[in-house]
Amino acid sequence: MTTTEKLEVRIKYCGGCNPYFKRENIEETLRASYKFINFSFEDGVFTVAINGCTTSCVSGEVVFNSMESEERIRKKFESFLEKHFIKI
Amino acid sequence: MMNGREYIESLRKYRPVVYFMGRKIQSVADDPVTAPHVNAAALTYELAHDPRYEDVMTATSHLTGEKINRFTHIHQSTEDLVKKVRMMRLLGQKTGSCFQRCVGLDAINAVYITSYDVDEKYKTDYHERVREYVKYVQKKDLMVAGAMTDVKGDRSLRPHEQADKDLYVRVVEKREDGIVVRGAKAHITGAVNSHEILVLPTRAMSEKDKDYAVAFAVPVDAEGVKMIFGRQTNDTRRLDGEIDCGNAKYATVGGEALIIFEDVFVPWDRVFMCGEYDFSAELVEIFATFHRQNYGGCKVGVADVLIGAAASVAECNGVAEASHVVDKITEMIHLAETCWCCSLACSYEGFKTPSGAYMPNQLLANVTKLNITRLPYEWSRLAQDIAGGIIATMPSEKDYANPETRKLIEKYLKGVANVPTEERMRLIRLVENLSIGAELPESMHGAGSPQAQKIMILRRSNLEMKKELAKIIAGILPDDNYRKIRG
Repeated sequence: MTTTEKLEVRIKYCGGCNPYFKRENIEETLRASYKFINFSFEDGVFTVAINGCTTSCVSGEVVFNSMESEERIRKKFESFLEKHFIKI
Repeated sequence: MMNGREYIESLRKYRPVVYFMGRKIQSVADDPVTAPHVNAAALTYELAHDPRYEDVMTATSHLTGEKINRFTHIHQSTEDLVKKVRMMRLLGQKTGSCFQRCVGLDAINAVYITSYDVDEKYKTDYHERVREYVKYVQKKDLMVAGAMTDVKGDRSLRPHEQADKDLYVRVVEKREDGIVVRGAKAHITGAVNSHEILVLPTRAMSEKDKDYAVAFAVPVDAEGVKMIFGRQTNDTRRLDGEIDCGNAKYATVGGEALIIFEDVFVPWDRVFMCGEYDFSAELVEIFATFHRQNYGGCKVGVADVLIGAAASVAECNGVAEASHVVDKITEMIHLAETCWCCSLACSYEGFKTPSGAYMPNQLLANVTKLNITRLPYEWSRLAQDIAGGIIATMPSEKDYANPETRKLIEKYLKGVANVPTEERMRLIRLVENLSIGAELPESMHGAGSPQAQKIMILRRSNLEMKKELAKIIAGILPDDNYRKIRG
């Protein structure tokens, strides 16, 4: 996987009142899979919303709200990246 | 949109084949056994025209932009989901019974969502067919009976393993112009007085069950459709008069029927799933979520009537101010409102599906319904406690009508001086109707039996997280938060 530019991507968690799965797994998968991206909780050119349930209290350009395999997490994230920012 | 009278009149144009107690019902709109159920459903039409109720009873179609009855609406927001349960409570209050039309509403929403997902995977065109069908239902303001529960035969066997292959509804023939289906659906609410039947599969299917993974719609009087109307406790009191029924105008529960499909032809434009067995479980789960959402609305509306009846009987008996009676009435209200909270919560916590339609939170919808398998038994027990043993021993309406016994009943069943005896008798019969008859088993098994909800509740909960929480608090796992504040 290669890219020519470095992206700033914001991660935004929902409040985590009663998550149906371990939300942190999504963040960990993203950070481990895309070393060339700077994930931050403050700013970014787009937002990855990590919700603990289908209520989806927070929104973003890429939204997670259920337990996903690492492969599906990557697929969802990359499909947005390729559509709007970089070729992978 | 039709009003109540127009709905009743519309039923007279259909010719469904309906049997009850060994005879054929000629007109469900007019037969004394089915007419009260028709009346309950008619209120779903009538109240949509009443400015006092139209905010919850109507919606704007996302397909046509027109004002429609909410019972034909595809939910477009969590606000729609909340209004749906508000509509349920309202109608429970106005009928004191089941008004039946929610099943079809839930079925069209479930098939709308699932057909989209099926098309995404298989590049089929089911979703477009569903959209066209929903438009038709909205335009004609039809009542749709949702038909899910198969008769199931040997419950330990899958559909294709049954000795008799017809014990789950199945496709027996695929033709160029459509399919032919055979089988039966049980406990179908409002079936005899609907315009349409929307059939859904009843369980998860395997590849060998492919023929049983079928969803379709037919008119109630389609050739080959036969219905046998089910018995209820005290149902033939309807033939004897009014007071003994308790709720003579709107009956009890929905009026359920066994529907038999004897090689019924369904054209392709009315087929919404045909062999996609891997989506059968999704369809069932979504339908169940919608239907379980309702019960903290409709049953609580009926509970409002029962609470009012119990409190009024206490007044008739001169004990309304007794502290234990006040306490029991308060407890009934608390139980009912607890269920109401559940329905609101699962609606407010609803979410948008890929189809664009919204559905309720699945965990909370199942919690709603599981509470309804329990709490109505308690509020009914309290109502019986308050009303007294007379709910099971009171002389009949015919004895009240008999001049020889009427005066005796008037004299000896009198409560407080300022309430007529007949008023007391009517309220006692209403308590009997709402707390003894078919109402309770319907609470138990309607929208699925308790174990079905428990399976979903466990599946939708995060038990691993709860164990981790416990281990952190018990000092078994590290507590990052504690380390941050105390080092």
